[in-house]
Amino acid sequence: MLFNSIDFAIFLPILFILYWFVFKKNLKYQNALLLFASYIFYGWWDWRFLSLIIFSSFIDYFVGIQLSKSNEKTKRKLLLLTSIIVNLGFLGVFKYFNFFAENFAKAFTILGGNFEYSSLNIILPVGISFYTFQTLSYSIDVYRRKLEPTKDIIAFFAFVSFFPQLVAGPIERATNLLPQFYCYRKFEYNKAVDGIRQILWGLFKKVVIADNCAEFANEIFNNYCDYSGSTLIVGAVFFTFQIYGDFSGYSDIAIGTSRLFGFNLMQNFAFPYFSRDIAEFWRRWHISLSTWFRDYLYIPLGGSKGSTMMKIRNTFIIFIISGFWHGANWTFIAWGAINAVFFLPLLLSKNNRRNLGTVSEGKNIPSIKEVFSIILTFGLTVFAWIFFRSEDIFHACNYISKIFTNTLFLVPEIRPKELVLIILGFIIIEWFGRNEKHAIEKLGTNWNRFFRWSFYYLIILCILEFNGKEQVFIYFQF
Amino acid sequence: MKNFITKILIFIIPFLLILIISIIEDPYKVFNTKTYFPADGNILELNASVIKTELYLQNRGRIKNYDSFIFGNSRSDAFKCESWKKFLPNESNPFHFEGMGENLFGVYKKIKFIDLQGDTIKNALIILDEEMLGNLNNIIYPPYITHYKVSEESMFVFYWQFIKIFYKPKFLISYYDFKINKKYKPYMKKIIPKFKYRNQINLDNGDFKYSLDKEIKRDSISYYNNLKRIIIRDTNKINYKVSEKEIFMHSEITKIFDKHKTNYKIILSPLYNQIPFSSKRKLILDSIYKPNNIFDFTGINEYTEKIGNYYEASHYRPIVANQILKEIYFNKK
Repeated sequence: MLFNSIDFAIFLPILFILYWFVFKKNLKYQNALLLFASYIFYGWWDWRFLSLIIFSSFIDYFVGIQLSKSNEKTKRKLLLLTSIIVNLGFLGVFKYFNFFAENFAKAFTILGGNFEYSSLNIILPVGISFYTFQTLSYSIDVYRRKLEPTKDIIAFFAFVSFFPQLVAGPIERATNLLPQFYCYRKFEYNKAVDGIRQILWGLFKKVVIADNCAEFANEIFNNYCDYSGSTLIVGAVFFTFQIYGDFSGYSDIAIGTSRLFGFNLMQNFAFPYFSRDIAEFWRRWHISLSTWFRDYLYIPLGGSKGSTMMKIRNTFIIFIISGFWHGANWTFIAWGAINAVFFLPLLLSKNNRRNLGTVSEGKNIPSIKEVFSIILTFGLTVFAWIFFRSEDIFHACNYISKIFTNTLFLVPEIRPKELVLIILGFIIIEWFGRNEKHAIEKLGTNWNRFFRWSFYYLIILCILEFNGKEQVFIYFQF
Repeated sequence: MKNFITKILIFIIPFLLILIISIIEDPYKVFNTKTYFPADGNILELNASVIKTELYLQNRGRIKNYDSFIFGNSRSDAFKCESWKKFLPNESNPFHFEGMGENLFGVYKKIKFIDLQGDTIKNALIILDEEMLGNLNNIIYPPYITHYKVSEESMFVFYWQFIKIFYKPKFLISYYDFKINKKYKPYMKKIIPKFKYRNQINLDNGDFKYSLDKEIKRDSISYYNNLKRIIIRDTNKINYKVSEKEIFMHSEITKIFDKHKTNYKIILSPLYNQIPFSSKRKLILDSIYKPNNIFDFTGINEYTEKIGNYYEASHYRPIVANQILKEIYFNKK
């Protein structure tokens, strides 16, 4: 079920009423309802893949219980390994099998051999990369004794499949989300109202910004040979806004929806395009995934400690795996590697933690230096996104080489004025809300009701008037 | 909680009002508030898939069940049931089951729908062109979306398309401006497109009657002099790749035809752009439908040369369709 669909618009109020009015007094019933609703939400897309979630949940539940019973090192390791193999095994088969088989065959052919393989004709289950990492975090945390394993099977299954963040994150840690299923949840007016506000802003980002940018980005990327270098830059910039609107929009809707049911999810995006360097960008972009890799991969590898070579190795590993997590294509690996190259100079010069606070804190207008840093960082991310968006490496290289031709300084052929104005308005709102968890968290809250509601109606009118053609969320494919 | 619910309800009152208005107004005639069928005074082009599906279901029990069908997009309008009937065995009862902007998805789903109703398909004409094979999904837009009873997709998504349009301020303004002032203004062009086709329907067989025919009959010289000034042969060929989904749909269609022992003919439309049908795709169609069932009228030929055979660049006239029927049934030119 898509957040931006009529099905969800019907599903959400029904669930809300059942949750707060019918099952209000019994936590177990509330959790069971959430579990049932989550399976409906997921099954709406393809019910057959529910079996994967159920199986994955069952394995990790069982591993958790067994880990709590055992103090034997080898047994504990074996249990953790079981969880990792099962979860990554599903991911490997459904997402990466064809990629590895194809590349292995190619490599073999280059070496003069002959390797025949048959590709698997399977659909990638929506959200598999997200819930797999979520359940893995549970097993790892229990193994590390950071978390007490749960015996409440309903709560655990509901945690794994919690519908707002099931298919595209934020990838929640068991330490944060699971305990919320144990506590009695009370309806909080302010939390619910802010949840609605965040849903509204998420829809705006998805429907108005992402879907409209997608129309132009798709046209330019699909027919890049027909356009001037300047138009190709426009295409890459549109994609940069598309992916941000799409993914952070989804996260906003997910977090807002969770708040309606009394849950707090972690912030997934913190205005990344206002970052002053790439390190800051990565602290603000897809936070739940970056911190997952940091805690479960980067730090165990040694992190930024050790020799320079070690630091370089770890940085490349983390960025390349993070890129590969997005999809089985060399373009994602290249995207990760490019970001590693951008990040390394900061790490090696120990400047990677230079910009920890919000840009222009306490001020409305940034300094020239800040503007320059923001534009430079934005430019670097736009460049990297070209790889992310391209069909393959050749497409990306050709796209980039086509930019740097004598057509670079021509007036772009595609310049949708209406959309550019909307994006400018969007940037301004995001700028003024950059200290908050989402851009309109505080905006207008102290205005009188007429103006406040008018502002919300205006956002809704924009969503209705400018809704673009693209509907599916990009991150569903990951 | 009470406060929250009350505020939400107050906040959504304007949206609920628009929802009610959109159902009462029902400009696409899909909510069964009036009738499903076109009539004078329609402001918007109605959804042909809804009209044909409802007419088919309405007539099924009342008159003798249909057993012969014409499938395709609006280009199939050139083929009339009355004309086709002359080439069919006696007692055949044809129905024109088209959709506006129909693609292979719509054709496949309609054939499946008839099969699921338990009706027979003794004869079938599929009027095909390559544009119908580009997008193989349901087109989610009011005039084009396939009726949910046929598409087997969500009823909510289907009806929502006809409500959603009322939430667009530009549409609301244009629609009521036109409705009140009865004047077509330039700013409305893209929002409520003027339509010249499908003004009337034959309620027995689903054939649309074009008001353009009257216009041509009245003064064909000035009609075609005007058309000559604006018409262009758009020779830019878009390559629509043959996908597994397309092959699946063709194969499913043949399975149903085989089950019904259907005498079917697939006509590749003579389009004014004179772009020949892709030879690669033609070979695939030949292997699925058998070559003697496929009739290719694309490219440069006697039909596509004359401007008088067309209403405009996209739609050909019944005189062409009648000629084609003679050619394919009697091998007569």
